[in-house]
Amino acid sequence: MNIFFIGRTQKDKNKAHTWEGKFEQIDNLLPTPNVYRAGDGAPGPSYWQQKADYVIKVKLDDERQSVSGTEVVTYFNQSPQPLSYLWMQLDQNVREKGSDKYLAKNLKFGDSVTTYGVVFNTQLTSTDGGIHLTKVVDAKGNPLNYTIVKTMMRIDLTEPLEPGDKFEFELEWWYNLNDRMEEHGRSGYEYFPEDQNYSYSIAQFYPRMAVYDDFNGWQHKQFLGSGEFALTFGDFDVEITVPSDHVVTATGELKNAKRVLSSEHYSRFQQSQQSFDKPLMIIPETEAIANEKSRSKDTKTWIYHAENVRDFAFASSRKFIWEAQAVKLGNKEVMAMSFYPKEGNPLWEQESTKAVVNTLKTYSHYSVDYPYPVANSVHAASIGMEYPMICFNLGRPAPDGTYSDAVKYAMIGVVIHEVGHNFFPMIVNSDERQWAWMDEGINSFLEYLTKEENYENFPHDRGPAYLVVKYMKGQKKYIRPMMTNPEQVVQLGYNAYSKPAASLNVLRDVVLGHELFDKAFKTYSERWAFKHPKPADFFRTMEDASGIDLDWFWRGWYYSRDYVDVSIDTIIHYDILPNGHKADYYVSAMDSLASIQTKKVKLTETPDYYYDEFRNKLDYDEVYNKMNQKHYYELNFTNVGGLVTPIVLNMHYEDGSTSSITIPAEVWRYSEVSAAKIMAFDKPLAYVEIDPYRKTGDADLSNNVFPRKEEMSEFDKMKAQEE
Amino acid sequence: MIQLIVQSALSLLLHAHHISVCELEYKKDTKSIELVQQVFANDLELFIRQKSGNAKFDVRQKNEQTLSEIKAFFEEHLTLFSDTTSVNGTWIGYKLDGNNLLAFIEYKNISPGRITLENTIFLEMLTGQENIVHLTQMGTTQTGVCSSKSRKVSFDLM
Ligand SMILES: [Zn+2]
Repeated sequence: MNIFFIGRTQKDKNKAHTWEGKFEQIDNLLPTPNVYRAGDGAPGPSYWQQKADYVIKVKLDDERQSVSGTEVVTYFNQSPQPLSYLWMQLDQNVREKGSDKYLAKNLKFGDSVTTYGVVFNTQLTSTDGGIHLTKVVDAKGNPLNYTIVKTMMRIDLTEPLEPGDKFEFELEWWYNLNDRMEEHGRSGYEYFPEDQNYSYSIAQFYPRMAVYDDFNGWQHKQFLGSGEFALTFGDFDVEITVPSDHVVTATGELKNAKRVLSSEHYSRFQQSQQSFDKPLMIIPETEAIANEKSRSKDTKTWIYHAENVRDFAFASSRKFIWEAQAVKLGNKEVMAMSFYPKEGNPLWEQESTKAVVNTLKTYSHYSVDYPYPVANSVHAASIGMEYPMICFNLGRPAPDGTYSDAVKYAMIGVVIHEVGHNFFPMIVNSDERQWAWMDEGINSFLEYLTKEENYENFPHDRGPAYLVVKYMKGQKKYIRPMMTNPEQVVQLGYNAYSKPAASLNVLRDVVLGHELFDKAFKTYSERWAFKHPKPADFFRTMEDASGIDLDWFWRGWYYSRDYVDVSIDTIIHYDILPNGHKADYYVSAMDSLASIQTKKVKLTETPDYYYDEFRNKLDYDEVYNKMNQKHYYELNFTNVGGLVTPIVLNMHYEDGSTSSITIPAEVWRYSEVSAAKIMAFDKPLAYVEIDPYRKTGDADLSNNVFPRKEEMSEFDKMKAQEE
Repeated sequence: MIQLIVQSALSLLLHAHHISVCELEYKKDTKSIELVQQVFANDLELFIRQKSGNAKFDVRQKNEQTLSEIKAFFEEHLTLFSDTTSVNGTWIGYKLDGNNLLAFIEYKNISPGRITLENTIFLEMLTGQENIVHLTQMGTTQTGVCSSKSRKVSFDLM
């Protein structure tokens, strides 16, 4: 066994003793508040946003794996500006041959390359992708001028669309669906060779209005595959025509259930709306398996209506098992539903709907009550992707139906994550194309709370601060600040998911405490539900509602690449002597990390001139006696990681008792690299520990205890255990 | 969404993060390097399932079979060179921490000079996988990255 002594001074590690303005306000980084977005982080008195209503008729071709449709868009200009053109998103054009997604890729082959690597990276896919527009006309049927700019399209209006006016136009289009196996698409189809059926998860399937807002004007940043979507709210009426033996689910409420469902399925569907304690099977596995053999040439049209949603997606297959459970949220009743092929069982029947219910309840508690009538979880291989009221989720047992804990927890985690996206960004509708942390990060934070509160010993891989320290520490050349666009960030998973989730846990657990954080976070959610928040609206609301200046926190965690590592360098015990005794002028405590050294300090009478104009004076004996009842210590800290942070201190006293205190981050405001404190305790100290519960994200535990402890490293513990 | 990548005709799920972390610590007094490699446990399970054809491989089942699969995985994907000569490492063990799996390997008789770590974890199938490597010596940490563009990272031991 190899026990070693952890101990070294940290001073030499700090090259930068310069002031970097870590406590300066971030006003110069944020947009100036105005009538649209207020200084307190709320929507301003003149806040506006656009609206787009859609009437869509879409047809799924199960023979050729393609989609065709028409859409009538009614665009409401609620902005104060006249608009001479409109921008739409044609996301399917990332699949056009030679799209920028591929042209902008950096790529090298190594010694060998897999078939998938080639197909995925060099677009050797079997689908001839990209959207084909066959009609773009106004309400009278007159052709409109339009220009396709890669994944975007500009429609030129013959007359400006004035504030308060609306514009109705119609498009007709078709495109070939992609095989998701080949390119891990957010949408497309999965083919099952055994029974020769397809399962379709259809999204980004219609030209969608880009966001026009007070902040960017049009958000028409090109889609390169990573930065997701920015979309306008509106109401949808959608008719989906599929083979008559298909089962469909979609964003919104099914309006013609009686017509498209068999009477038996319809009656189970009705019953499920009263099933609050467990899911009710509407289409059990046996019926789904029987349906796989059907090959109907007829079609059926499923009709959906959705209000105040930013998007619409649907799923369709012969293979779907369907279960549903009712959930009470506030004064609303919501249907939690799961759709999955038999390949998902038995995992899906055991965990999917349960995870949907847990997510709706927990997220509603922390943000806003889930406002929509349904929440669907649809099983699709090897993906997790979210749309309003519907998401496509991975998690599949081995062919014999067995599954490991790793598969189970990954599946539950994805269902929670994607259903959770209903709240961020589908309801609190941030701009995903620009800021991935605002949806992925905030969502990963609530995903963590949902797992913690509903599952025992969930094996987390992100959420708590201690899980990001290995990524944050070290040299910074391979990391980017969180405030980096998702298309050019180097480690999207760390930057957009784990680090922001960790930062919010630090904010909640250490900086604000649960009560202040939860109030501020709920305020942000309520203020920006069904609106388009920007980072400043989040930063300002969290400060405004909590009453705590957090500019240093945003600056450190969101704009910098610093990490948290505080060292407790020395503790000196002060022996307070009365007048007439000789004091120590110097104690070389730095020579030892092994003990708390004592320094004699003389308490002297305050000279008269210090009292200036005051006529009364301090009583020497009274002060001396008060001090004598306490034990005085000087604690010296170094900020090794550079990120300013509160210091959570656990005091261990000689009598074995403990107490703890959190020193606010402002302790670093005069010097960003070192801090000294004099603290008085009732009892003599044995040792002091920083961040005992690993809540601050401190990267180096070896400098967290003073006097330094003989402690085995993680490595030596493993060695000892294996011997 | 959840970021992940699918490989070949079999579906191999990989994780949102696309990254792993490898910590090397040089102990000058014992001339040894201690390596701790962290990967996501569910990613590793799926990788080994696919590679071995054993669809039931379970990373959380502690037994001889699991150990030997895990050990073989790290031995295959981590190679340390002292100057240009590869060094045999001693497998110490592995442990699970939530969904993280940490593997421990020790390399002995490492003299000051140049070392290179070849870290090919998940590189053969993942686009965008980045294996971060930290080397700590004398209280200072240097960082490099192994990816499909460059599978090796070098440091100078003092
Ligand atoms: Zn996501």
